[in-house]
Amino acid sequence: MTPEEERLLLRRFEPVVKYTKGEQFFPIDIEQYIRACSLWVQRPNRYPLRLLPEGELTPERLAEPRNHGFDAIYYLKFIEPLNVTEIARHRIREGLTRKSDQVFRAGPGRLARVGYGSRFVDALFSLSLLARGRVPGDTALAASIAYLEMLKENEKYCYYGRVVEQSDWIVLQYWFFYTYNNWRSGYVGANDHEGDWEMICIYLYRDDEEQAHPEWVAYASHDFSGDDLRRRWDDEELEKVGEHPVVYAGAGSHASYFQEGEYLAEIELPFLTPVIRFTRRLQVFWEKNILPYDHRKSADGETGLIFSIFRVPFVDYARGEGLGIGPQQEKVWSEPEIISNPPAWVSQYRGLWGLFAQDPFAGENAPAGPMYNRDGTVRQAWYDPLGWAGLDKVPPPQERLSLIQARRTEIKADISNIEAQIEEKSRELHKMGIELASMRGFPHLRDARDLQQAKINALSKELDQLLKQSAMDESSLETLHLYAERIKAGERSPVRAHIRRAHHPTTSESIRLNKLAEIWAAVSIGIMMFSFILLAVFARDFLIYGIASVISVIVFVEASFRGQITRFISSITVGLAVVSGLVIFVEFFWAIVVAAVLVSGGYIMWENIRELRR
Amino acid sequence: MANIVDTQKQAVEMLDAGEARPWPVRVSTLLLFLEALGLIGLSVYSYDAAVLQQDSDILELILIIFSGLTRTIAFGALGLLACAAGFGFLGLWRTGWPTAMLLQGLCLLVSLGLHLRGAPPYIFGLMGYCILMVIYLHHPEVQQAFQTKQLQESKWPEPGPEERL
Repeated sequence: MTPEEERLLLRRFEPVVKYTKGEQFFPIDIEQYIRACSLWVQRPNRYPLRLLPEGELTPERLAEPRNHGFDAIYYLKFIEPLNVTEIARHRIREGLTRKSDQVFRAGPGRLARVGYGSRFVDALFSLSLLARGRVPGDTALAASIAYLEMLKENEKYCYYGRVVEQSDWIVLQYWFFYTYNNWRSGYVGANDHEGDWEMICIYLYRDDEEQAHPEWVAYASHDFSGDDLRRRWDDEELEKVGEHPVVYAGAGSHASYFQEGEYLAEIELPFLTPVIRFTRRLQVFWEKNILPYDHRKSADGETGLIFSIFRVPFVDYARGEGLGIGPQQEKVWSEPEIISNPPAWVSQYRGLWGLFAQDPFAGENAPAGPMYNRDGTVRQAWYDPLGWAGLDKVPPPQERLSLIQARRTEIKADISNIEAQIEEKSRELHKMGIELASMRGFPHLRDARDLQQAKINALSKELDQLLKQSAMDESSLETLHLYAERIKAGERSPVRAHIRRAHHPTTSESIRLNKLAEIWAAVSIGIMMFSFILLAVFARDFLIYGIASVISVIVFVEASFRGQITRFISSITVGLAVVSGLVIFVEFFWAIVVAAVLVSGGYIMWENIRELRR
Repeated sequence: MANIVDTQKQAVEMLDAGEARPWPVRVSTLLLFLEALGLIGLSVYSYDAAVLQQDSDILELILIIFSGLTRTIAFGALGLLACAAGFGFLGLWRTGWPTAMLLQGLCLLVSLGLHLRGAPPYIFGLMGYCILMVIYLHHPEVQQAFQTKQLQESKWPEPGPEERL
């Protein structure tokens, strides 16, 4: 494909990106950003070293080879935090000039939307930010001022396009670069970092007349991977403006969503991973075996995300009521830069695209470029865009029939081969059977007979395997035939059959929390901690009972706010029944054993007598 | 999903047509009324045991009477709750099932509390009965009956995009 063909294809399907009102950063030209950055290197146990000051850096110079050792981390530094005077001046100016309809309003707080355990872990997460490396608080403000300056200088909204042909698919990748991710400081999210790369993919196939048609779209998103990332072009969840898919970008995080709304993103703390795995198994067991039948569960038992109290909850606001960029929107894309043949700044620079905050959880460190992960390895989305969205096993539509035919031919060949083997082994087995039968009545041939019997058993097993394989192949042949018929009749597989876990926005019902619930969410952790201290100081003799009572009251209030009283009562009662059962078992152990033996004996006797009477 | 929706629709239609409740619901109702009788009996027994005390030490007597009266009130209240749960089952009210579960929970809590303080032997009988009730209340037909009733009372939900598949 020529660069011009690639450009035309990219422009034909370029996305519409819709932002939340109040969003401060939009996709920008990387050259403008690089010129405003300085280049640094961080080596272990050393102070960071500035390699190039701001104003001297260009995409070409960024890509120059450097050697500061294996453990060196190269990074860009975009902005210095503001001092108090600058902040005050900016806030006053902003207060005077900002229109109220441009301001972001969070709505019901994230803490009110999740459970008590998550709020506790969230408190720990917030405390951990004091100890972890993080982007200084006022950097976001400085970055937004700098970004506005850049916009004034040259208002340009752009993306970087890449066209890859892989396994008969044509993949269009759209990369967006933002100068700053202010999810934490601007929208009470998980992290802030300088530089932010986001990406979406569109998967096309060519028909018999070599015309390209879109079939799948995949958006990079938090917590999701593989099949769950993609939607089929005809899926109702995927909005389109003409041939342009609509992306709803998360406020500050810039994560991509198919539908507008507010998404609950849960961040897993790495050191809690074993606990999370254990509670997940426990939860699955509880849901399957102990909790009552729930008509809200879908047929396959999926209830959406399995809630974990050990994950920190954050809301990603992708409301889409703010600025729109793309065809038929308030702003349009400038001419894309094509990176199919990666320029040096893509392929040669493996460092970070913003401040290296030395955060062990990595959330506050800037990301690497489109081609690389933070550790310098190549991103899967770059080297295997099909596998990244779980499409490596899915052939393009126009190839399905020919693939079915090819597979049927292979299976038919397999079947004839297996049938020949069955014939041969069957005859062999008959011969061995005859030989074995002839040995009967000759005691001196006992050993030979045993050996023969063992051989027969082995061969019989082999034959059984071949017959089983043959039956399976026949069945596959039939299935493939039926599938081919369905395809010929124009039938398509269900549009969402591949999705195991879809990310749905929070429904208006679930966020209809009153002010009291929000206040409760904000103060409950504090109340619990104060109660523990008061109990420890003034009522140490009743500490255990006191803690149990406090937790019970808090959980009860929590369940009331969430309309989960029935579930709460049911769970507590089942727990109490288990404890009481154990008490009875311990108290009456021998009596229970005797009763069990007597009942079993009586039952067996009853069954036997019934059999006699028949 | 379509199968589940169909089953629930059928169940709603059955209830609409006034067909008899499933037998596990009827048995549960009977068991709840029996439980109510038992609890009221325990309440009366605790009252008698407290009132008929003849201890020489006045302080100890007061404590025993106080404890006995507390049990009387507790079992009496639980007996009334059991009646309410029984009527809830009788009318298939949406609060019937949670009330019955709450009753079992409270009974078990009281029993465990009494057990920790040197329980009278009848407590184990109450525990056993409650455990059996908890198991019985989780019988799929019992739960289905209440959820179907709830669906009948609420507007039938429109199938979402996934249900339409």
